[in-house]
Amino acid sequence: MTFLRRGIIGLLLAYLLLPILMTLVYSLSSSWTELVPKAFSLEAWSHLFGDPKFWADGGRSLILAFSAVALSIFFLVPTLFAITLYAPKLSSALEFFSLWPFVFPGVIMAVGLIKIFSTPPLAISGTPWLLIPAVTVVVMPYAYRAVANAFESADVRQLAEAARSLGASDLQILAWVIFPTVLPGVLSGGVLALSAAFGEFSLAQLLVGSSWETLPYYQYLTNSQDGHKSAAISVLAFAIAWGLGSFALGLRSSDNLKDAVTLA
Amino acid sequence: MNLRWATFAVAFLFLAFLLMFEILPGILLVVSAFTNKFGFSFEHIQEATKPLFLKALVNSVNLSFFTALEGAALGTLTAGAIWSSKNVKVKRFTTAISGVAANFAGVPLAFAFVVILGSSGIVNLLLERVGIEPIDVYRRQNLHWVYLYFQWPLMTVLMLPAFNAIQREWLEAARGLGSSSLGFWFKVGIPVLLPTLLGSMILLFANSFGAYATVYALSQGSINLLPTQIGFQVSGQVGYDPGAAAALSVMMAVTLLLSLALYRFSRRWAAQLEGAK
Amino acid sequence: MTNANAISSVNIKLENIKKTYNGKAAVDNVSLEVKPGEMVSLLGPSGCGKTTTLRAVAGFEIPDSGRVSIGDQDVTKVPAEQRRVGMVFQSYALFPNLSVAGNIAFGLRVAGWEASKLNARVSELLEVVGLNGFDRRSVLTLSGGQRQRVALARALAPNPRVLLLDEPLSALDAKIRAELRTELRRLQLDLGITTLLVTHDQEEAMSMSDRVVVMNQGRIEQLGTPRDLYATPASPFVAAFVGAMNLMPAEALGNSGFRVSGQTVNIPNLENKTGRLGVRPEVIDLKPLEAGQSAAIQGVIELVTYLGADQQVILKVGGDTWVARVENDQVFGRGQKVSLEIPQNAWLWLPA
Repeated sequence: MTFLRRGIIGLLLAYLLLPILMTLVYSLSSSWTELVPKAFSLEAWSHLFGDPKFWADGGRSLILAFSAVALSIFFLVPTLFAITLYAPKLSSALEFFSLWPFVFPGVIMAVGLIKIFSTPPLAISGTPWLLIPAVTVVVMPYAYRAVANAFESADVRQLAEAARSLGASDLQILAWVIFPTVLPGVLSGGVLALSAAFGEFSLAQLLVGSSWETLPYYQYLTNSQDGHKSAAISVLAFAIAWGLGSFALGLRSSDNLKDAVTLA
Repeated sequence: MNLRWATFAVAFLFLAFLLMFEILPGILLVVSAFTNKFGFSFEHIQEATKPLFLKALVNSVNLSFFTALEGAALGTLTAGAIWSSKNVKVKRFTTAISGVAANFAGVPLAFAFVVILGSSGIVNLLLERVGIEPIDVYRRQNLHWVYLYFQWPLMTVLMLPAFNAIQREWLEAARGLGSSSLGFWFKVGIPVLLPTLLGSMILLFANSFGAYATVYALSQGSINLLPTQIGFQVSGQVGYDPGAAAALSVMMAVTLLLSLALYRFSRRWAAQLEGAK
Repeated sequence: MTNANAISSVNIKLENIKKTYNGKAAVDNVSLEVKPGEMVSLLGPSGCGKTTTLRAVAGFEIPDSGRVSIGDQDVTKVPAEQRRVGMVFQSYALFPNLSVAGNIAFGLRVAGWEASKLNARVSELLEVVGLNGFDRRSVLTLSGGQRQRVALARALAPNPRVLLLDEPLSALDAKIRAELRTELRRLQLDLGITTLLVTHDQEEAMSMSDRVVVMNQGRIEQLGTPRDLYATPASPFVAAFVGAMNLMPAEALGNSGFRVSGQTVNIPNLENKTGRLGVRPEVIDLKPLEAGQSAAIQGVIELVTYLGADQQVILKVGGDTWVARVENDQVFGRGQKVSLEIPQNAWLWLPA
């Protein structure tokens, strides 16, 4: 039993880590056509970091990711607050719209979005003004799950009542009780959404393509030109996902983990 | 300041935002799938059933079903192993990395697999050396190796809570009643896990069915799947036919909606069983 | 307890309170006055309207009709945050982001107390609830009993006019519950604060309050001191809910008696009415019967449970199961035939 247990866990870890490790080695090698790389060099990495386009595209990815997260939190926290406290019956409607991308993933969202936004007066197709809202919608499930869980598990209604009976005004309730209580959930949801928005490719390709290039698109273009450089980007992307993911997981208890990935 | 109205104001803004960027595009998609220049028509739907597209649908269903099955089998075993493991560090690390990998799809993943399974990929070099046919990652039949990278850990993370709902006392109670360990799993363990297992499989199916970035980055569309066909019909690299894209999208959305409905049903079923602690 | 904590007591008055949810009356025309300094319990099964009634006093529910006043001030439409009531919840509802002291100080901060007065008040309350030295602890590290003490201190800190307790002990272990029950009552008496308690536990209601309101289906079934409720329950519901009671259908036998569980009970029945007869387990005395002997009311012993101070005997009388609590000095065996001796005035007659 123990042997089997160790075996399957080891197999999973190998399957998840080896591709990344080999990609790392590949990014550090100058030539790898035999079983063992012939020579190592930092050329791919220096090319990558020396490319102004990499920094420009990375900057756009950051702008995109942070805007999408800021928008989802700006919308979700007050809406969940209003629904929890004043209109609990609307919570299933909010869930429905937040999980919408499950049925309409990026590729097909793009089809509908292009239709609406490529003719005047709303011709914003090909600009970040369309990409940012679209990515916000697509990463909404991540943010929604975490924030809604935080509202649910903290029993926000009861806390608000306790604060009210102690004389607190609405604003004091929000600032002193609700916000600090749901903050870990908001942060972890935000970080997961950030990670997803940062790596979002389908909308970036179909809605804006090269007219407002982001990092995943940059890597897509690099694939065919410089394999070693592309390998470096893969490693970088995994490191970022790993960092953000473990930060988010650290913020929530392990039994909520399921929700973190339910809408992968 | 009245917080009630302030928060409702934001909620209405949110609704307007969703209307514009989520609901209207969704509705328009359905409408344009069922209309042409002249009004209501099945023209695009008919187009979407031409052999090339039907093949894409069949390919997508095959791939998704197969990777769901593969991921479910491996993920369930792994979750069981994590559940019964007493090493907290291993448990934590495996769970954490599964959570990250389950969401790690797209361009970076595609290229990592090119490095190991491409024409001069390291694993392929190894396979050649021992005399096994190399795995060509650009072929549709081998795509499941890439998808397994996120399906396996996703299943693992999805099954863990269900395993955790099985209490060790149940096993002890069963053995006290004279049942063997194996007998317990057949009579109690598997029936309790079953709803979550089936539900998670549906989720895995949907997860792979809607995946676009990974396969696109890998093949630039030489692999004929439903999402890549939709991408083509809107981005106009091969054909340009927004009508067909809309019809194909509706096909995909209906499949996903069905999966979601089944998933919800399985959750309710699981909640009943797991509630009986 | 120092006099500095004494509160000028005010009354709570509810007049014809009605509250309907989805067409079903949760609270149906409830009127009640809690006198200054009095502790009153609202007792009843879940869904009887007791919590809704309490929440109407707190300001979390606005009644459809009727009037709520605190200290002769009409507060029916006053928002909860302006009512100056102290509220304690079953789930504690402590703010998880604040320390023990932070929780207790919350109401004082809101009211804008200056730091030195605030700190003094917090230490005073820590002392009152016996949590000296806990001020910096996170509330998440406390046991249930400690959490509820913090919640109580938090509610009392801003000198509320009345105290509202919503099932405050229900989430606690039996031993801590009994401990806190006594403490809570002592504190309430010391402070003289008018208190309304909601509970489904009759023992809690009886032991803690000056008067008990038994509620059922949104209405008040009976209002009285614990003694009144126990001795003269007004309805079968109250009789069954407050204390243990053998309550059996009774068929009229003319004006001089009833037939109960196949036995004849000779007590005056002037109106010759059918109804129910009840008798408390502890008023029944058991006498062994020899073979061939018979008695007015007789039964067969099924089970004897030793309880330390006394013993509980389960009997079959006719076809029914009865319970008696008798002293320890007699030893009974299973299947033994006994005579049930019940004083005439111990019977309670209740309408059907």
